[in-house]
Amino acid sequence: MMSFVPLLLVSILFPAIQAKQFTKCELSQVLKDMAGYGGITLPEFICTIFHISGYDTQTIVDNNGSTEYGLFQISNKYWCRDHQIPQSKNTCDISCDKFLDDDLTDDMICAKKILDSEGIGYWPAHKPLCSEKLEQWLCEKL
Amino acid sequence: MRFREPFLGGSAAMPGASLQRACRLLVAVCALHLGVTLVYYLSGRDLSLLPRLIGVPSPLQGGSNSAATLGKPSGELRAGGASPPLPLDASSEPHPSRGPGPASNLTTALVAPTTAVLLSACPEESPLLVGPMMIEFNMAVDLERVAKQNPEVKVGGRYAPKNCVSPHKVAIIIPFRNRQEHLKYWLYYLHPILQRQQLDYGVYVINQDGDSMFNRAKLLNVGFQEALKDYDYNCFVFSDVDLIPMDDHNTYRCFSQPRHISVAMDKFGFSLPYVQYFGGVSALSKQQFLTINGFPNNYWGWGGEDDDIFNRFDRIAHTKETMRLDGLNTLTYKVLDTQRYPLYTKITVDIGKPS
Repeated sequence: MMSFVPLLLVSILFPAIQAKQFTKCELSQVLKDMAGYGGITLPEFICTIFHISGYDTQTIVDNNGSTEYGLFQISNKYWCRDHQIPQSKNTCDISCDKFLDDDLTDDMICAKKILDSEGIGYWPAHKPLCSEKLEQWLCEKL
Repeated sequence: MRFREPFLGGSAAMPGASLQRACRLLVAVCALHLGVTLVYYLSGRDLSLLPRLIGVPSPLQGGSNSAATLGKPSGELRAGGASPPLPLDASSEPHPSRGPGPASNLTTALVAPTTAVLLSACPEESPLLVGPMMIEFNMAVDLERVAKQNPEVKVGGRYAPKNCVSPHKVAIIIPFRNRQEHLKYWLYYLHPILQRQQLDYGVYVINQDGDSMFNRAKLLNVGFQEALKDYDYNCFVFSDVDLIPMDDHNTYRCFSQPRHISVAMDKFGFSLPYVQYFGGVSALSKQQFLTINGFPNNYWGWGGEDDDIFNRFDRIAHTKETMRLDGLNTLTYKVLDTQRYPLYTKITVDIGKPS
């Protein structure tokens, strides 16, 4: 019973922990394994993710009949399944809302599949914004 | 504070006692919260008291290129320096001026400089500037009152300095849909600033008709073309409706190169979100705008189009190839309505849908 107050405080904090707004350096750390995948450097990934989701894992964007989820803005059209497109090809064999949590393991696995199949062109922000001036996306602390 | 002895009584070993301690703690926290809220509420009546109450250091000095963003009406930003008079009336709809036809409205809107020949050019830097300003959004704005406070501004939002001739003939183009509250604040703050900057300017609000996705860039192209029908503007400042400069040295005019005016915005921690960012407020001369064939028409919805514009300036950038294919030379739209309000000209357009 003495632990009632701390328990109360912790339970208030718990829902707040679910949402995740990464920083550039946190993301660089988590995405280390993707550096060089598909010929794309780490700062290019960081830059692309900044422009499509602003490092926010809970980003959901409607896109003309389909919806894109999470840090990598993965679409329910072919890659994951949700209520909007139940007949989706679901190549990553996953429920789309799994891309909204702060565990990026499943996001990265699916992003790699997208890179294998479509390359970095799947993310239109990359070419105009992430082909040059990439120093700004490096984490100095790493 | 004294609490009554609990009915259930008992020693500290019993569960009821620790629960009561927890309750006391909760009540104390709530009382503290209530007290703080009360302080803020009462201080909200006269904001100048608040720094004194909590010993906050003097308000921050805005940089010369900084801007404040309009958030929710309760949001606020502080900067030292002169503060404009605060309007206290409830807001009301502006009265459009309805003449017999657009032609006569134009004649009255244009400032005819019959005495211009006798005036000298305005100085390079206006002597009327005040520097950093206090920008707040927690008061109601009444546009009729703002019009009275700016009697030199002519119908359609037109002004030219009376005592000198300005080389800066600036059309300020604001892409717009359903942001009347933001627009009121914009007009309230910007008209005095633009007059102090001694600009020969006009304010054009380009209103996208219909419900399809907002196309900021196309509206700016429309603004360029429509403004030129009124007057031979040589400079175009494209501004989002929710951006207010925090220092009037930040002149809304053109330079030898296209200029990004809103480089340091409070919502981005006063630094650029990324190096190539060109959104917000930018200034392009008529010649610069024509050289890049204006803005792309085909970016619908959020984002991208201001980045494409940055690429048009960069000689080696890829989208230079699409520059000739998508821009002023392919612009199509239909003007549905033109209203000359006292403080601005509002042009409602049908710009079509994403293809």
